[in-house]
Amino acid sequence: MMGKSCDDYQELMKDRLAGELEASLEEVLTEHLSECAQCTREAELLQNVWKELEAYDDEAVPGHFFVYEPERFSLSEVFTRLSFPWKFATLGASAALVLVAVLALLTASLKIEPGAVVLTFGTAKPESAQFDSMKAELTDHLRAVSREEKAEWMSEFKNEFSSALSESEQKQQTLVKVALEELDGRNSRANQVKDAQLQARLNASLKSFGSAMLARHDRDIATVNRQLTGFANYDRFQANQTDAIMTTLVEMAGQDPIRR
Amino acid sequence: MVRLETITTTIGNRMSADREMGQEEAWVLASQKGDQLAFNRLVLKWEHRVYNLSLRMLNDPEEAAETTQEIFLAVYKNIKRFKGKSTFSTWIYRIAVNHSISRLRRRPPVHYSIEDETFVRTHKKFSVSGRQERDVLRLEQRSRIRESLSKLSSEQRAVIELKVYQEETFDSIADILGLPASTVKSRFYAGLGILKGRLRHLLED
Repeated sequence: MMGKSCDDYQELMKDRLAGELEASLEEVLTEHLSECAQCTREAELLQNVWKELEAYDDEAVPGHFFVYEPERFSLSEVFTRLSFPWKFATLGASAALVLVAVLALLTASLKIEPGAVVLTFGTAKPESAQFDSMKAELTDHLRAVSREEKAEWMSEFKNEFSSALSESEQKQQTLVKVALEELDGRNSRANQVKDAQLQARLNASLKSFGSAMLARHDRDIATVNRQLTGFANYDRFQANQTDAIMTTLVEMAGQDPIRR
Repeated sequence: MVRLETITTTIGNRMSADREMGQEEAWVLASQKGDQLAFNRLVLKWEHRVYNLSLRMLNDPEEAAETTQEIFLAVYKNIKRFKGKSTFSTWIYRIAVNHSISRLRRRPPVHYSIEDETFVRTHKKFSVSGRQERDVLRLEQRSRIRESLSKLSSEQRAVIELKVYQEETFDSIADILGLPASTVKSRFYAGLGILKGRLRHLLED
């Protein structure tokens, strides 16, 4: 077989490993392998790959993978499984429902009005008739009231309204006045308080200043007194000394003549 | 329970192929009518293959178990739509592969399970007996293959899985994946090429 490259033979090798090589090509491949050393090496390598892959044996399943679906019951099955009180209750409830439905259907009436289809349950009360008569009565009454009466009502109403208005104005004015007065009062009161506070503060500071001055004055006087007494003491001391010297001199003068 | 055990043993004993087919058909028909027991017989028959398929595709036992459960739920929900145009195996493989591939795509791009390797390493340190050593070697090989398989694209992996482990023909793989046989072949060639490159790399190391 001419014109086949070594790459083509590689594919044949792989086919052979896969067990899908045609019998006619088997011979061709064997012939090439006997001639081509490189392809023989490749074939060995591929054979080893295949062996290695095949050596990978299956593992045991970690557990079964069954599929379960919760059972589904029909309505009758569910009912047969209920206990007696539940059966009784279910039956009673459904009977009541059926009764209500039948009653509703019996009293149902279908009315087709322009633009709407009206389904009503129960018998309709003659409400609309009553309402119509009341409406007619009212309109009649209104018609009976004359224009003069209306005008009178209007003027009365106006008077009432304007008097009410002036009253309220006066009220407002007095309210404002009271408020202003109160405000003034409050202001003056506040000022008085402030003045008194200021005065007190002034007095306090004056007092403290005065006392500070007095203290200082006292201190000064004390210092002067201390110095004065100091001076006086010194004078006395000097006087004593002179006296002593004088007496000594006198004694000496007096003694000498006696010894001689 | 007694019944389930007898079923397991009969399947374990590998019944003759045509009887198995006939039984499977009957189970499918019964499941389509809502027979849960029949459906779970199908599960029992297929769970081993489906679980190992998704395990090799996903390389993560927990995820594989989750996906397998998803697959059987999907089979259960759709079994009425199975009209018998293809074989049941083609149909179930299609669902299994599609679920595994979509699970792979939902993953963040790099997923690497180091569980096996650490397990192998710790075992290597302490084990001495011959049997344990064999086990360790097998585990090592398995993790190596898993790692190699994880280098393939999900499509290539699906083809390799169906060809090598489920031993399907190119034609039926094409049927399962809904692709022309030529595409299946080229994916198979490319996948094997990548695996060969890895093996050469390992040998040179």
